Amino acid sequence: MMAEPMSILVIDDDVDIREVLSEVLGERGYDVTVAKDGASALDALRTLKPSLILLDLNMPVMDGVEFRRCQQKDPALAGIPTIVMSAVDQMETRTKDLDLAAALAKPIDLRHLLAMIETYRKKTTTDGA
Amino acid sequence: MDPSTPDATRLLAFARELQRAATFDELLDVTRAETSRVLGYPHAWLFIMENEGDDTVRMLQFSGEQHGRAWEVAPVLPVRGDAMIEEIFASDAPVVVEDARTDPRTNKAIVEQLGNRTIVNVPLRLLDKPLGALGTGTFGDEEGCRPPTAAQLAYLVGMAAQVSVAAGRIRFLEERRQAHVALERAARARDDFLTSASHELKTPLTALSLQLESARHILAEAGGPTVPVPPLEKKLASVSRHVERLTSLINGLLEVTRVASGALELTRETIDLRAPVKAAIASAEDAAARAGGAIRLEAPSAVVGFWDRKAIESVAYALLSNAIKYGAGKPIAVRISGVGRRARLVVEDHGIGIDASEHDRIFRRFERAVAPSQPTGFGLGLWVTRHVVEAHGGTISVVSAPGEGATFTVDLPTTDDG
Repeated sequence: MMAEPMSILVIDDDVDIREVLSEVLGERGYDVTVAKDGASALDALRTLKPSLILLDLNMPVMDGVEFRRCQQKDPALAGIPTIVMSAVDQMETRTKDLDLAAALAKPIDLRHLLAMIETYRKKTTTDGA
Repeated sequence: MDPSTPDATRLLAFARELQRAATFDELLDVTRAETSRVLGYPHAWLFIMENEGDDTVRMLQFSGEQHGRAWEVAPVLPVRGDAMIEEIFASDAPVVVEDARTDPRTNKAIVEQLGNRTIVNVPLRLLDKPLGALGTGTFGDEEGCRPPTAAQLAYLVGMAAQVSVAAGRIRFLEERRQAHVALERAARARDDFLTSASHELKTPLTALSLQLESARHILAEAGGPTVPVPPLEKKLASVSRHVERLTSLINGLLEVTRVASGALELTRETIDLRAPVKAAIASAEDAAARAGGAIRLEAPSAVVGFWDRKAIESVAYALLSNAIKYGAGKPIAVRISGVGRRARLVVEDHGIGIDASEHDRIFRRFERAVAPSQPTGFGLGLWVTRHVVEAHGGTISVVSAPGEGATFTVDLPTTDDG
């Protein structure tokens, strides 16, 4: 039984992607919060403790790589599993040292994404129990 | 020339030395060693025509003790108006100045500064076109005036023929190297463009595919013959929007191809500038609202001119898209005004701004002020916009500083005669 909906933070500069992910994940019972760049995501994380982060790479102000570095340095945030989803070239090279849960190439496959989110829900539930 | 004579043998050895010269520096070193050995003149120089048919020659190199000074005094000389240089390029024959101080053909300011005495310039020609001149001579009272003998002059002409071939080869290599650098830069810009174009196209494609998969999921869950209309309608509306976005991106690419091939044709009509700008605002309003910034139009009165409605709409739309993209979700102001026979459209945002050093670059093809790792767009919007504005006889400019937003101003003549 799901006591509380799993919370997911979506960080993407593209308003369409934020809207669509909020919608399709919301329909499946996830509690979705969005941020338009790494800096506003860090702001949001002062009060929010999501179970999972979906992170774009190319963003203004603070890009995904820089956000992830800041996140890794903060002990309170470092443990939140993070999935990168991006349309950039050479994603492996750019995300090499980021210790990510996964890196998905855009356009992302919804079923694949949902399956991955479920894996992390189970892990968090097991770890948390 | 009989190859058994010492002169011919020496000239062959000189030609062989020249074969090794890959730069004008090396060419001149070899040449100066030869003039020094054969004529006893310690200095040599090269004039090279800047461009074919150009009216200037560049003193490319000057070898010997006077090197630094000559470079400072006469790096570029006009052909016209300089009697000696005019004479060099007028014929194939060497030009000998016995005493530069008294000869009417010399430039006395230069002679004064350098201390020239005897000057010998031999024209260099390649493929029957003037290439430049090989020069040598004496300086100061110690070297004195010492014109070459007829045999020495003949030998210099022989040397010049060899130097022409070597100089032509070096210039060709240099031009090829520069062309290669330019080509590499263009190829890199195109690669960056393809990378950002594919990134740009994948974003709406992602939204589109997520919505479609999600719609299929809704249908699968419904299972039976009843179609869950409201959620599907919502999905389809969103799908249409993403398709529109993809279409507009692809249209943008086609427009670039049209502009690049010079096929931009304007269909002018008499219109109020407010009409296409309002149409552009209507198209951009949704995106602006979702980015958080409203668009405010200040256009108190009609500004009528003879323009291409669609093209002006695309200019306004491109500037608005830019303002939305880099506007940090703050309000965007659009102003339309007219003074005399000029109309002005201003689009002002309060976003991240653009450093002054980038202001020219953003109007070039494939260029964006932000790094490739930053979002988004083909880097073509402003380039296309500039072309459309210029095709109308107008101008586009930007005033901006980092963190202080950007103000783009388009000035258009109201008639097509400028």
